[in-house]
Amino acid sequence: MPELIQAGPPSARLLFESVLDDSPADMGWSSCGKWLAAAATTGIVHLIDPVAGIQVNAWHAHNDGVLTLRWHPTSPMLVTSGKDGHVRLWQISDTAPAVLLAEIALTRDSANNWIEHLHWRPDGRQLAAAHGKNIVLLTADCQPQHEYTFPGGTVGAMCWRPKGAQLAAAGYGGVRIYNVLDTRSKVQDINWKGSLLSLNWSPDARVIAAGCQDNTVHFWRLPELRDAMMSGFAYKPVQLNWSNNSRWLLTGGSAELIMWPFDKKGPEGRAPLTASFHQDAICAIDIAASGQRLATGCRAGTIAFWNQIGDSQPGMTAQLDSRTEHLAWAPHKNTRLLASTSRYGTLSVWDASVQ
Amino acid sequence: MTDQRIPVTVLTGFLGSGKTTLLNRILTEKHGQRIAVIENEFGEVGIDQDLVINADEEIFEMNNGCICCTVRGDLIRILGNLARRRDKFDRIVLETTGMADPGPVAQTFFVDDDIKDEFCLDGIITLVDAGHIEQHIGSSTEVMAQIAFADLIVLNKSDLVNSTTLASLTGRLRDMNRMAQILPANMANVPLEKVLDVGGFNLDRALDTNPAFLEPEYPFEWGGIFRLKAGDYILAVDTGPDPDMSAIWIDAGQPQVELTELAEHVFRHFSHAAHPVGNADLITASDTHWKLQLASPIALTLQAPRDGCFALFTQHTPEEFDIRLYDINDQLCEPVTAHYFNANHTHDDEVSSVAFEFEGTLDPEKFNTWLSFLLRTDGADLFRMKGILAITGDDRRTVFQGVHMLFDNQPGAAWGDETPYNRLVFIGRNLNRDYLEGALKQCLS
Repeated sequence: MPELIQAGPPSARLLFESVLDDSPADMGWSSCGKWLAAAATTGIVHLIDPVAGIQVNAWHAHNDGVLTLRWHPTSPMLVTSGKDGHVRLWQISDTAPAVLLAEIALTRDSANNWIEHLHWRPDGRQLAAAHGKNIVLLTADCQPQHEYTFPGGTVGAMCWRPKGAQLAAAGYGGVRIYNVLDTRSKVQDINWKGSLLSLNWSPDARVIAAGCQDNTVHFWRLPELRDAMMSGFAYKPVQLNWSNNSRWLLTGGSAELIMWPFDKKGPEGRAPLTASFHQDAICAIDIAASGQRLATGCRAGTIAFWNQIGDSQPGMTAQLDSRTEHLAWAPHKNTRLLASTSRYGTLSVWDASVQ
Repeated sequence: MTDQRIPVTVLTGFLGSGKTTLLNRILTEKHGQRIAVIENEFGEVGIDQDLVINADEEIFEMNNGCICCTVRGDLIRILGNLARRRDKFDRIVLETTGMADPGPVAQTFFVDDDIKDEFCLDGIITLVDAGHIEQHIGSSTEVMAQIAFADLIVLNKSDLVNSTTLASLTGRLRDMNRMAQILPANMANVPLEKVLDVGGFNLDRALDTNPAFLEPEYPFEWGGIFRLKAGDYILAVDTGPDPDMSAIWIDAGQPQVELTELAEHVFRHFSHAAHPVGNADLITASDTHWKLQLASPIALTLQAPRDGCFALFTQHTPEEFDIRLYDINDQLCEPVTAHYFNANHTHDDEVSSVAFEFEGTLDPEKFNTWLSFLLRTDGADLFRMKGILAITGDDRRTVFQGVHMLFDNQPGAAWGDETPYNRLVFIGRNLNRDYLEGALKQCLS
C-alpha cells in the first residue's frame, strides 16, 4: 500500500567543516566577508577562508583561553580578549601569519582577569572592553582612553547605540548609558531590579532590550524610558535580534521562535508571531544583512534557515553534532552562507542557496 | 540512566577552619578525578593547578517574587563558561569565603536552568575549628548558616580539644543539623570519598547519606554492653556539666543482643520516676531508672548477678563525666560494644533541626496548601528540608528537598507491601517543633 510521507525542509549544503581544538568561545566574519575567525576556549584562533575551503592560519592568541573576538567594522583587523587580562589587536592578511599590532593588559588582578566583553564602536574609532565591573574605552589601536566603573557589579552585557557614540552596559540593577564623546557628561541610568544578561539596541535607536536572568525580556523606549516586559520563556532569553528595520525583535529561550512586533504601537496588547520547528530551546539567532533571511539554532543542535521573518516553517535545515553555540551570516547583502559552531567544537559553513 | 552532569562540591567554613588544607588534599591525593577549582579567597591554593578560577562573590536577588531567593551571579557566569570545557575536568570544587552564606550558592543550582542542566550540587562541606567554633556559633550568623546547610561537617583540629569538649560539640552540631554527617578530623584528614561523593542534593539518594537524622531521639546519649563475670563492679563518675545524671543498669540477655534493640526497651524506663543514688550506693541490674547525684565525684557498686552481658545507658556521654567501670581488682572494664545516641536535649541555639517520622498518608491538597504557606511565611528561616512523604493516592514514595523557599520533589520507589510513612527533617532558625508536627499531622488523610 503506498503511503504518504511528508517531506521536511531540505538540508542546507555543507560547504566547509573543521573541528576546533576545543569548544568555541566566539566566532565571526570579517567585514569584507572573506574570512571567518573562530576562537576555541583553549586560546587558539582559527582563520578560515570558507570559499576556498582552507584554514588560512591558526595561532595562540591568549593563555588560559579566548573569551571574545571581534572584527573591526571596516578593516582587516581582529581584536581578541581572554582570561589572561589582555586585549590583543591582530592584522589579518592572506599572505602572512596574523601580526600582533597592539596589546594591552587591562588588569593584572588575577582574581578578576576575564575580559568578557569587547565591542567596536559602529564607526570603528573606539573599542569598549569590560572586565568585572570595569569598562575601558580604547582607541582603535588599543590605547586606553577612559575607564568607567559599572555600578551593578560585573558587566553582563554591552552594546553601542547604532551609528552613535553612546555605549550601554547592563548588569545587576539595570542599564547605564555612557556618552563616550564627553566622558565627563552625566550618565543615563535605567534602573531595573534584576540581573540583565544581554542587551541590544534597535537599529533606529528607539528601543533598548535586555534578556534577564529570571527568564524574561525587558525593554525600554528611549528617551522617555517607557518600559514593558515579556515573560514565559523556558530558558534565559539571551538571544535578542532586531530586524534591520527595527520592526521585529526576535527572541530565543524557548523552542518556538518568537517575533515581537515593534511597528506601530509596539508589542503591548498584540500577540507575537511564533514559529514552531525546533524540538529544544533556541540558543542562537542571526539575521542576514539583507534583513530577510534568518537562522536559528537550538540546544539540540538543529539549525533552521528561514526565508523571512514571519515564516511559519524554515526553508532549509541542518544538524550539528551538539548544541548550537554561534550562528553568523556572511556580511554580504545577498549572502547565502551561514557559519555555525557547535558545543563540541565543530565549525561549519552552510550554503543555503536553493538547490 | 546515570547522571551525566558535573558534580560540584562546596567547601565552606569560617576563616582558619581548614578549608584550604582540605582543598589542597583534594587536589594532591590520588583519586583519579580532574578537578577545577573556583576560589572566592584569592591565592591560597598551594599547588599548580590548571583550572583555578578566582571569583568575586556576587549575590543578587532573583526578580521572581521570592523574597529570600538570592543567587550567585559570579557562579552562573563562571559555571556557564566551564560548561564549554567539561571534557577537561570531572568535578568542580568551590571554596567560599569564610563569611559566605551557602544559601545563594545552593539556590543557584535550584533556579538557573542552564546550570541545572550541566551541573549538580553534590554536597556542602562545612569545616569547623573545634577550638573556636563555640564562640563563632554565638557570634556569627554566617557560621550558623554554614552549619545548617552542611551535608558533611568536618570537626577539624579536634586534637586540640579534649574528648569531653569534642563530645559536647558533636552534640551541639547534631542538634543544629541532623541531616549532616559529622566527622572529627585533624589537619582536615577526612577520607576523600566522604567528601567527594556526598550526594546531598541528589533526590535519588535523599536518605541514604544521613545516618542520624531519622534515628529516634533518646533520653540517653550513650549506651554500652559489658561482658562480665558474676560479681560486684565499681562505677566511677566525676562531676560534669549537670549536677545529676540519669542511668539504667540492665541485664542485656543474650550476648548477640543489638544495643539499638536494647535501647528501644530501655527507652520507656527512662520515663519512670528516678531513684536518687549517691556515692557508695548499690545498683542492681534491673529496669530501674537511677538518678546519679553528682555534686562531687562518686563511686557506685554495680552488681552482675551472673556471668553474661550487662548494659549501661547514661544520660550523658562517658567523656563528659569521665565514666569508668572497674572490677574488684581495679582493672578497667571496656564495653564490648557502645553507641552514641541522638539525645533530645538542646543547647538553645537559634538554629536547630527537627525530624519527624509518622505513618499514614498525607492529603495532597492539604499538604500543598500548608507547605506553600510555610515556605511563604517562614521560608527565610528554613535553611534546608528533606525527606520522604507518603501521599494519598500515590503508591510511590515522594522524595523532596528544599532550600529556603525553593522546593523540589520527585517520585521514589513504590511502597509495595511496606506501610507508608513520612520522614522529614527541617533545619532552620527558631523552628517550632510542636507547631510543625501538629501541622503536618493535620495534613494526614
